[in-house]
Amino acid sequence: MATAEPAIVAGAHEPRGVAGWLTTVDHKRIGILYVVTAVGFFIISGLLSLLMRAELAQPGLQVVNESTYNQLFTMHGTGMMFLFATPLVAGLANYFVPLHVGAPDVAFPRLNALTYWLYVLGGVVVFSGFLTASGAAAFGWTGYAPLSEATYSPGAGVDLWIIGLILVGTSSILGAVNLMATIFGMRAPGMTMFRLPIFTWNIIVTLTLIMFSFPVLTAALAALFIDRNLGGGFFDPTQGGDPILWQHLFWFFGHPEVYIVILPFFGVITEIIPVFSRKPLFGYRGFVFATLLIGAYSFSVWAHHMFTTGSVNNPFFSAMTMLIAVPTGVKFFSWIATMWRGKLTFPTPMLFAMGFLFMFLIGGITGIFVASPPIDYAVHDTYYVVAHMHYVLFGGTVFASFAAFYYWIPKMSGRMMGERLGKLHFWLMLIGFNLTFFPMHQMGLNGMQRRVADYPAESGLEVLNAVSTAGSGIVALSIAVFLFNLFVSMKRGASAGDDPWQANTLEWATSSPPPHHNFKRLPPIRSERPVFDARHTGPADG
Amino acid sequence: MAEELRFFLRTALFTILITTIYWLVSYEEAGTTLLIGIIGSAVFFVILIAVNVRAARRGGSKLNALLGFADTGPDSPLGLAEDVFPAPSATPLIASVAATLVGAGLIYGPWLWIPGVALSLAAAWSWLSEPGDTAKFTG
Repeated sequence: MATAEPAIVAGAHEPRGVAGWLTTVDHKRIGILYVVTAVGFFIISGLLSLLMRAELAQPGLQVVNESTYNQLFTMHGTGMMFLFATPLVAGLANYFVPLHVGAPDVAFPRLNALTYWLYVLGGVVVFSGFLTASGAAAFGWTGYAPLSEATYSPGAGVDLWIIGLILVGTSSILGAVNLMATIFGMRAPGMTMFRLPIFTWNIIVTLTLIMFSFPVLTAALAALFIDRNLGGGFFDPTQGGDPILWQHLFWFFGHPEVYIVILPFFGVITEIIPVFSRKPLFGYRGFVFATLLIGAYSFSVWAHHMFTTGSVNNPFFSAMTMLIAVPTGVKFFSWIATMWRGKLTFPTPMLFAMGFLFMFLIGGITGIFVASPPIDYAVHDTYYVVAHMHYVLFGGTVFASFAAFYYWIPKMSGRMMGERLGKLHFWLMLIGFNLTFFPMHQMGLNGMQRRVADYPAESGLEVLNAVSTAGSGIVALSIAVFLFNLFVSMKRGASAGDDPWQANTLEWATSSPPPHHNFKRLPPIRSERPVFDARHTGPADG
Repeated sequence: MAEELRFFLRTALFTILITTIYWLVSYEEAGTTLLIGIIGSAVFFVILIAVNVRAARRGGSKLNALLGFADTGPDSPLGLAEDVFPAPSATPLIASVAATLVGAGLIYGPWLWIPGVALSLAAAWSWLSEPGDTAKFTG
């Protein structure tokens, strides 16, 4: 088989400096913009959580009042879910999907730039609520009606939250269409669907979830805006509306959203574990079908968030929620079997991948508990649920994000990240994360309510809260170590070379960072590990 | 059958099964309607891809040309006709500023729609009239 040699007919010239970044349509630069902006929102939203933890360090109100606290947890959740996790997926997918499929760019580069700018401006609009007289939205990131209606939440901050999220949602939908067209329409010769990297397979399912679920959120937000400003009554019982409808609409988006922000990171981990186990992935096709099944199930579990409303069929949603553990278990089996008898090494990306496995497993197991309605009735709206959610989304998404950063930043920048600082970052984050969130299980079981700025003195919750707050400080320190490592590595990091990890997928077949149109030469693609094949047979043997 | 087609076909069939079960056990209208929406979306993609794969295997069609798809063989049955790369452009940024102004106008008053609509028109004109390709990939 001949080596594919794409030819660039003419070169595109990008302006230098800030103008270059403002006008770029190159998927790699847009990917970097997405990642940097998402990390920025992660830091802002994280600072809000530090304020909350400072307030909860001891009983009584010391740092903020109740109203401000309500704004803090709302904007923390909104920022992390809509402005960090989902856009980070978009950023990594933007950068690596075209490389993974052997394409020179995405299908619609200008549309790609539009999606990024819609996201940035949407995020600014959402956070600009803090500048209004009534403050930012203050009803939780779930925006439950009727609390989010004008009667109970007046002020422009809520409207800015709605409009901002509509912009961000529109960006996500357009971006999903673009990336799906790229994967379906721009694969290199030889790159069949069952030779796609697992990361890209996970992105396909994620994009499908985005295309099918974000329009529901956008419609719900539009209906809420109409209720608030134009006399509508979608969610207002006095006008014949139904507040439970909001919960259906929100969670029909919201539960797939959990998979939107976790499936790509399953993909990241699945790229990393085989590389540092020196083995192929165990059960490639089984893994793909497990991903498809998780995606499909994710649309049938939305109302497990609504058990306590008394308005949904609890047995159905409980059964479906427990079923989703089966394909997730297949994935865990596949990861463990890949490592079994492999030549394991533990550089920083692999450490974070291991952190992901253990933390996500804890989150998954507590998820099975709360999938049981009797347990959910007991712990609903307590810190137990906060602990569960953060083990899934922080222990899962954030640990895997850092695995992705340490694994792929050498490709994106051409420089290796510092290993010692990377490992320090990992251990600080692992310890800080568990100190912050593990005690929350017990707080919840002891009856501590979430989304409340205070708790009674001598309730037995003081020590647990103090430990949790100390842990959050350690997490913040670990992030500072990461940022310092990033800064130093970009200045003085060792040269990465094309393939510093001896990896398998196509992004490692090009230079670090890749040229404008990604590949000067593609290796023959005869399996899901074309770079491994080329390394062991030589590109000319094709 | 193209795997892309199978992907959405499986999604549609699975969701039909789930929707049927859900309706029979709950008779709940909002969730059932949303699930039917998923079925409709998946079926739309099945039809779209099936039409395009079929047409591409018969040597292309006007629909293919209209949608920007063309056959490149079994690896990528929905392969794009050509890979053309637009030049760097401020148009996407301008378009997003326009959308933000129109959105803000819904909150702070229609006067914000004047710059919003003006920028939208400018962005649309720019988007349609800017030269499409400074680089052409023929790999």
